[in-house]
Amino acid sequence: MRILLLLLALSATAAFASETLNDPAPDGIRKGGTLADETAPPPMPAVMTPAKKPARNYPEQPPTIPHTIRNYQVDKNFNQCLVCHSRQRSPDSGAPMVSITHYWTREHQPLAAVSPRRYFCQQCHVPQHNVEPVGGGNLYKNIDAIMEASLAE
Amino acid sequence: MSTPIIASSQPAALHIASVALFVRPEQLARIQQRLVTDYRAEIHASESTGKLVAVLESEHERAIANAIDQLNNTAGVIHASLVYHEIISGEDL
Amino acid sequence: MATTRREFAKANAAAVAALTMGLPIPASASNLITNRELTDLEWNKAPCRFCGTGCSVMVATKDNQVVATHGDVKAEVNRGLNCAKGYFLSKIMYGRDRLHTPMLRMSNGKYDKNGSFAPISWEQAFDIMEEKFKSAIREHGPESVAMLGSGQWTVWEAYAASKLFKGGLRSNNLDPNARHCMASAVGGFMRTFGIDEPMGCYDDFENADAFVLWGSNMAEMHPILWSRIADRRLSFPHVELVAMSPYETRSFELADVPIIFKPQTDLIILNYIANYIIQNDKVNREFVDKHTRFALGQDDIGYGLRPEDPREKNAKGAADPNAFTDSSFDEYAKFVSRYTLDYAASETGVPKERLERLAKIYADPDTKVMSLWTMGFNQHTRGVWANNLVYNIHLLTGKISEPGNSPFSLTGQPSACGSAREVGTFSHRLPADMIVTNPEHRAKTEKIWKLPAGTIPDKNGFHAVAQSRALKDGKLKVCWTQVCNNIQAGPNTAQETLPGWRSPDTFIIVSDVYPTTSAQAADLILPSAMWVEKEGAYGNAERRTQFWHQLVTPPAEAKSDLWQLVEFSKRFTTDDIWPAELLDKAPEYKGKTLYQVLFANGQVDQFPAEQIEKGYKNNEADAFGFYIQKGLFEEYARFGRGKAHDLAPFDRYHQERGLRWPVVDGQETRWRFREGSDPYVEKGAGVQFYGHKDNRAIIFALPYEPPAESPDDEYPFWLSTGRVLEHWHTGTMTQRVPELHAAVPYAVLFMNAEDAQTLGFKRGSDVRITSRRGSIRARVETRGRVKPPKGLVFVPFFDANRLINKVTLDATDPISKQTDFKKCAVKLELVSLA
Repeated sequence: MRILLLLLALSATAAFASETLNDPAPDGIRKGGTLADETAPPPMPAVMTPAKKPARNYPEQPPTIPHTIRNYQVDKNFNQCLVCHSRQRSPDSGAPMVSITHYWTREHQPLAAVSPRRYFCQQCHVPQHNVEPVGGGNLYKNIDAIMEASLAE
Repeated sequence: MSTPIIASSQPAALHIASVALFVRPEQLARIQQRLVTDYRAEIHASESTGKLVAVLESEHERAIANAIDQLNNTAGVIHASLVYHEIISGEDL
Repeated sequence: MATTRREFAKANAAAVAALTMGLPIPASASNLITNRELTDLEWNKAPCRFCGTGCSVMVATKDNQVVATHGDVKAEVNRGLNCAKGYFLSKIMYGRDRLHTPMLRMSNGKYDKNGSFAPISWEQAFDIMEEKFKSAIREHGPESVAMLGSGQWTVWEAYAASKLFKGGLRSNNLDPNARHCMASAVGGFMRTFGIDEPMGCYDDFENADAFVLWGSNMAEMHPILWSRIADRRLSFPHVELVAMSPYETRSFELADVPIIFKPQTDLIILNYIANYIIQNDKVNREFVDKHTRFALGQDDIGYGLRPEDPREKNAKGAADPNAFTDSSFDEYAKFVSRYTLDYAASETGVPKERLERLAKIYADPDTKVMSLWTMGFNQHTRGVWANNLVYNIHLLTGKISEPGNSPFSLTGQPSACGSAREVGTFSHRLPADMIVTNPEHRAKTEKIWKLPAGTIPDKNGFHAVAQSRALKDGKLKVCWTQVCNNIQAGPNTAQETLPGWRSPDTFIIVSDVYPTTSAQAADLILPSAMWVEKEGAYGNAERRTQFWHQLVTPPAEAKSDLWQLVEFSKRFTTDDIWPAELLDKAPEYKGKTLYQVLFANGQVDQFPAEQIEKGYKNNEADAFGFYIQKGLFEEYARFGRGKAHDLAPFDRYHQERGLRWPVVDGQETRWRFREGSDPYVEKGAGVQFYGHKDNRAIIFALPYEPPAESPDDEYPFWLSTGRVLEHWHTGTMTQRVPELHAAVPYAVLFMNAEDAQTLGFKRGSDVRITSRRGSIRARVETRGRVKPPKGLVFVPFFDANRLINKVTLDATDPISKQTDFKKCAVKLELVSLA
């Protein structure tokens, strides 16, 4: 009997503890009131391959990659991205040529080939997976939206 | 040309439209010229393969419809179609 | 306006037509909008909000919103480049779930530890904070209140926090999350050189012949510095790159010498290289004789665990881990002689020829070497040692403080150097490398702060990990965190951090911009302003101090951390919290508020708001009536001027793309300790390590010691944690950028394909990762950017839904108190195959 009571007391404490750790809270990236829980990982999402290239938010935004790049080799010997996106290959491949800025050195002098400082494409360009935005989305407005708003006024 | 494709200084409303044209490549320059002189159109894009984007503006919707009909009957034009049409009311001008 | 409306419509019309025809959007479409008033953007410089690289970005604003950002072509650091994160800075402030108002846990209109969050006013928020702080101090003393800040504070926010806690509330329980990040680097600098922060600078990238990455995955964590390395390596065929890590990373894509070593055995490689240099007669004798001395460090120093842990009880050197005794070159040579090539190869698992090739790079007097490290060394139970040992190599060969020869400690936060280290917001530090346990340092600080002698407590406060333990143990009653997310980023969440925060005895305040896991675990949430919503200053890894103006206003009730700290100081009078004997020394302060004593003190308030550059907002100056940022900065700068930490006058920084301190006679310093570059070096000295009184740097004899926890039969895998390129730290900002979230949506378990096969997992399997402390679930990735060898797994910590720090161990370096997030033992079990 005493053991049973002890067990009951223990489980009550445990329940109380986890309840306290999971006190209610606003939803963020994590749902509120779930800190002590083990959350199930969502399935691995697919890379999006939109037919139309997504618009950029502003001119200097690096375009996202509208295709998968799994197992692409980009190392000091070979850059698979440039197989299609280089100036020479772009007309045949139909892929957009890397921007002219990518030919500049640190001193802003144009080179004959892509500048080594821009060699690792994925520092700036990233593929997109098929997922919903977190936190209810982003309210950023690009310049067009803001200008339209001022025009409407 | 029947109704002039041109807006007066204080119109009641303004119709703005863009027209997509597919023309014979060898006729591109001539048609482009005609769009500007006859229809007071603005050419916003063109490609040597024979694609053209023209923007028209008029006080009357009918003028734009007529222009598109005429363009479709013009030698060298394979097809012209209305893509975008916006009406700006007089108060906004 | 009429023309514009019409032309805007035409542009639209043209664009739509072009789009349907597969033509490029006509140039005319963008050129058509001819009203300058509409198209004009305000462009201003600001440092990037993320890592310690300190890139400068140009920020475009329109109608009080940030609309675009791009790399600043005028900035030396990045010359027009940004990484994926930097290019998306425009969006970080606009997540829909931005915090807009203070919120308190309440039931029936009153504070309740287990209640639900309800919006309250700032007045009510400060009321409950005042009540909790005062009752804790009254009943348990100032040691019962604490603050955890970060290397993301602006310089003046950190300085204001330091004044409020150490000078006002008289508690040294102020620590930055930089404790988890840079403390070992600081320890290394202070022990070897007696002065903090790198002697070299980023100009070394264009001058080095070889780059050695000690654990650092710069390709992902410092992409812009990586672009400078790639530029050098791919432009000059003689340049070599050695990438070292316990697992293969993206940085290996550029490696000439790839080295995968067993966790913790970096200490062996470091000592092996020193031994190689000595054995092959490559010591730069003249340099060593003139500029260095030798010391034998205390060994067996424990693991910074709780004192009752057997690993602490059995550690003979745990009582004074920082101790060392004088030694000599011969003793040192003998000490490292056991680190032979055979021994090193067998213990580290690295092929002999690669170890030898690495050693030769350092030994060759004609090869200029840049060593680079970040969390691999710093988050290490022997992190200070690892820092000391890499300096040993550069000192033995004299390869230091000159272009291209550079041991370089990188940083992870935008102002880890500026706000955490230089301002001295650590629980043991004061500004300009001073410490609270030194009476002269306290006296100097009290003098500048115009406080009576004895105001600043003379013992170290609780550091970050100690704060978590003290909250759990009930020793700390109130803790306020700003600009950091310790529930997600601190170690051992399940057993240490979270129970302390949710304990009925504690009151936790979190100032943040979004509902982070820390905000969710708090009792009071305060909405903060961020980045260009306030005027700021950051200090990057190369000693570069950069300023920015406030460019937009924060949303709703959000306020800067500076405003929160200074406004809250009005809630205390000296009589409330200072003992009578202290007040007797400064009777003029009787009845005064801490605001009057610390901020309206004739110094901080000496610059009128009119001095703010025309055209810029300043919400704090509006609130307090003076140019508070300038006042705080100029008071703070007094600590460093004339002490080799000289900062330029405030206004100059708004005109420059940053300046590297010491700034003397208007000139920045690129290589410290080198005559001709560093004005503090005496004429004729050539090199002078003036941080130590004898002008010598110390070469330390320190051994290999095992990690706090290693894999065994029950927990057979090493777990290492870290970042990914697309997300910064706990992802609070970057995950709210839809493009960055879509690029890397969830944290996955990176593991070796053969290990996965053996355990019956496949790519995408749902797996439980369990340590002695806690568990989480994640999907298996066997073909990802991180390629672990057999026996090791890697999980990034950005993902709030996979709190990997429930699994990590809160073992720290006993000297620096920095956590080792890179090594603990876990087991893996299949939840579902997928």
